[in-house]
Amino acid sequence: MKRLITILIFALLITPFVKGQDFLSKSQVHGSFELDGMYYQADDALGITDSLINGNVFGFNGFADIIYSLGNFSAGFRYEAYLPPIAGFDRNLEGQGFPYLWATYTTEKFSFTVGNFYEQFGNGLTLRTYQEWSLGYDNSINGARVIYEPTRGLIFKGVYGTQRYFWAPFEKNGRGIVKGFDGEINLNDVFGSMADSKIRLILGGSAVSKYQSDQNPMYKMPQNVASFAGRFNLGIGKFNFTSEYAYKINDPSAVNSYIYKPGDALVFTGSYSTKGLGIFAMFKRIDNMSYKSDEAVLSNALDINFLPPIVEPHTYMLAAMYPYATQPNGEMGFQLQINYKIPKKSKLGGKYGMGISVNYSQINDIAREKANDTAYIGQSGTMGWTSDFFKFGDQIFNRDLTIEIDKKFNRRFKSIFKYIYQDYNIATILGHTGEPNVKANIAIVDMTWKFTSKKSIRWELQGLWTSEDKGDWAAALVEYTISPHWFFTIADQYNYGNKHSYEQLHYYTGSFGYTLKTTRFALTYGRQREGVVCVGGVCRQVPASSGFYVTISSSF
Amino acid sequence: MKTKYIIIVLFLFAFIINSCDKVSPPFVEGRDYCSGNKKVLLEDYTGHGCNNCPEAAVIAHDLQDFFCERVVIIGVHAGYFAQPYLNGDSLLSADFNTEAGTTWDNYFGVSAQGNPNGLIDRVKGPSGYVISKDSWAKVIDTLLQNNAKAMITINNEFNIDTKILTTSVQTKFTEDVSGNYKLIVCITQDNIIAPQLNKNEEIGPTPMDINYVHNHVLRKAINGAWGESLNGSGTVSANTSYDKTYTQEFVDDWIPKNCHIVAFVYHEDTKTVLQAEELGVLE
Repeated sequence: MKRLITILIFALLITPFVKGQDFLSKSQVHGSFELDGMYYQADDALGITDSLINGNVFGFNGFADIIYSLGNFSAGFRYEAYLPPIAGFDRNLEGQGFPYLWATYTTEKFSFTVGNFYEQFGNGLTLRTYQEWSLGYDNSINGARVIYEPTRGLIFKGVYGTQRYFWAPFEKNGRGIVKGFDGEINLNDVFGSMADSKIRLILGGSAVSKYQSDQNPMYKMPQNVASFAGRFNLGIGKFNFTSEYAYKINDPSAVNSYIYKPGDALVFTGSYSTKGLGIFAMFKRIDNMSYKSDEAVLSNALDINFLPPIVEPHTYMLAAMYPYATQPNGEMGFQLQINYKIPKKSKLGGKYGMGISVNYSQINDIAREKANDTAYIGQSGTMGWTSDFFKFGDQIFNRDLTIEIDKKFNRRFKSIFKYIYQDYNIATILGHTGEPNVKANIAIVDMTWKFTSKKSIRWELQGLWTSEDKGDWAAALVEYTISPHWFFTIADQYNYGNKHSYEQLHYYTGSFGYTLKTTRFALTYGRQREGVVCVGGVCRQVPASSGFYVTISSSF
Repeated sequence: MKTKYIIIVLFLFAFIINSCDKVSPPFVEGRDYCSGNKKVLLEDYTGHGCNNCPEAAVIAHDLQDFFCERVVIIGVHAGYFAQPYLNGDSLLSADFNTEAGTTWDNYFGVSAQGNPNGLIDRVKGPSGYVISKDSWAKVIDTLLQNNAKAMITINNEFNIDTKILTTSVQTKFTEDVSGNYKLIVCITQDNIIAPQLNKNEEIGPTPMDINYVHNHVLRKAINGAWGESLNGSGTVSANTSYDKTYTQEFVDDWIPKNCHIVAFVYHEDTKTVLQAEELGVLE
């Protein structure tokens, strides 16, 4: 609250420089809020009893983001409340307050921010702070940031501060202090001779360091841990290539079981795009690249960097059952995607054309060898392991083949057909030790029929077939929409292939929603199956639940 | 002009590069923890259905060695993962839950944050009482820097014929303190062989170790989950002693040679443990 008052005082101090009528006419306030509530009910089939609920029948997550701007100045805050957090969110979130307060002043060449801010250097391999409401994740930096753009195409950024850790204030000898610097040059913008070149080149580099005092009694901890990265973005005609390589010095932590080997990461992408055809390829290798501002934290918090995912993100109910979580201690993989649009008026394309998309990704463990003869791989207090940079490990973490066809048959009827094959290492990713990889075939049909310009019905039929984990599933969804205000949905996921008959359950939901301009209200009743929610390779576990779920969101 | 930018960049990179501490082997600290009279209570909240818990048990054992036996461990089986026949698995039939363990677990909210987790002297930090296994060493190290404000002496007499244990616990305060101080006396047991889920091949078979050796298992709090008050309230002067004696009949599963008495004194309001002590039942 003190910080909020400080920022408001700062805002008031600059207002005398603005004429009275300008103050009112040029001031702008924007904001958004969302309230999510859950009412739990006992459900014996899911193993949820009244004694397990133990009186905690409500969960509530809510936020309000307010931004004020006046000329070059802007400031804002976010209020958050988790009273208590909805099941599946970190219990440390319980509480309420203003975890995000900031003020920014921007000139032609400079931008100064004090308070909380989000920032990303390159792909995020050395630094990325962001907020993801659906995960309950926020690793914002609280401190200061300066951005300097001396000329078009040249930009420097510097950050300094500590990261958010739920509601815990920063304390001496607590979590670490983060400082970082990033520079980027767009050669086509800076050098006039390259302005009209068909070759477009952007170069960048970043360096980040954290300081955390050595409070670990068992291991000699590096108090300053730095990471560095270099990157480029090269465009040649219809081709585009990007790459970033990052290196981190010894960073023993709870995540890597206190090993002392340096970490590194490489991301490379290549793409080709022309009318009707797009090809995208990506390679990624990570070795010991967890980078947190507290060495002892294991949970989804205090990450300084971000390791981008290379798996097709799935949103359909059954396709999203086995989402991939990035393995920061080591993974190596590639992804290839081809999008092709069969032209209109061709034999296959028909009147409206037809879209085909194929995506394949594979992620393995890295190949690891003993660091020396006297220690096992990954043993605490050692160098951990050695690894051949170009060698894939034997263990498959995830494979995904997705083939999608979207076709509009006439002005009323369109559909999407999807086939997915997944090979999912449930032992590593979900901790189901000893269980074999889940090999699943998934088929999805998604059809939409428009009755009128405002009324439409959409239905999905989905099947997931596997002999591992919980066996086969079937799912169906029907959604009726009256644009722009109403929608009504009923859906069911049925685990008919579960080897335990008592677990052959229906996970049914019914929901409706109403939208008025930027305000949306939705109410859902039903069962939620146990699972995992992932965004960008960062995941949280969701327990099974039953009851009412309400959400209200708005922006202005 | 361009030289200026190059200087800025070089200066900032040099600033960061200077922020690198490369550690040379050996990486393990070699401090002496064998002097000092303070002992720390480590409550390892665990369950046979928790496959990460064997790692925590190894850490707890290693910490006891590392801190020169100045760590007193209680393995509290409580919460979801400690349920007998968890998920209908007949191999997980053992029930190590106790009334005291469940009471503590509900009060401190340990298993609600997932297993394994623990309490260290029941101290409350910025994020609450619960401390993850990788932070145990750091917290214990800090607490061991203090002198003990009370010393606990345990004397055990076990009658093999009647299977009745008589334990006498003397608490002697070494500093003036104020508040209501309570004593909890527990029985723990080592070497219980029962199935345990496990994910670490370095520790034992995965995914389940059917011959897993459970140590420090809480069997009972003899004088109740919240114990018995020593002084009632007010202040306690240095050198004041309190003597308490309890008797407990052993059930068949409690093997006397594998059992210990764990006693600890705590402040009623803060729940913070002042001192802990442990003695074998037959010692």
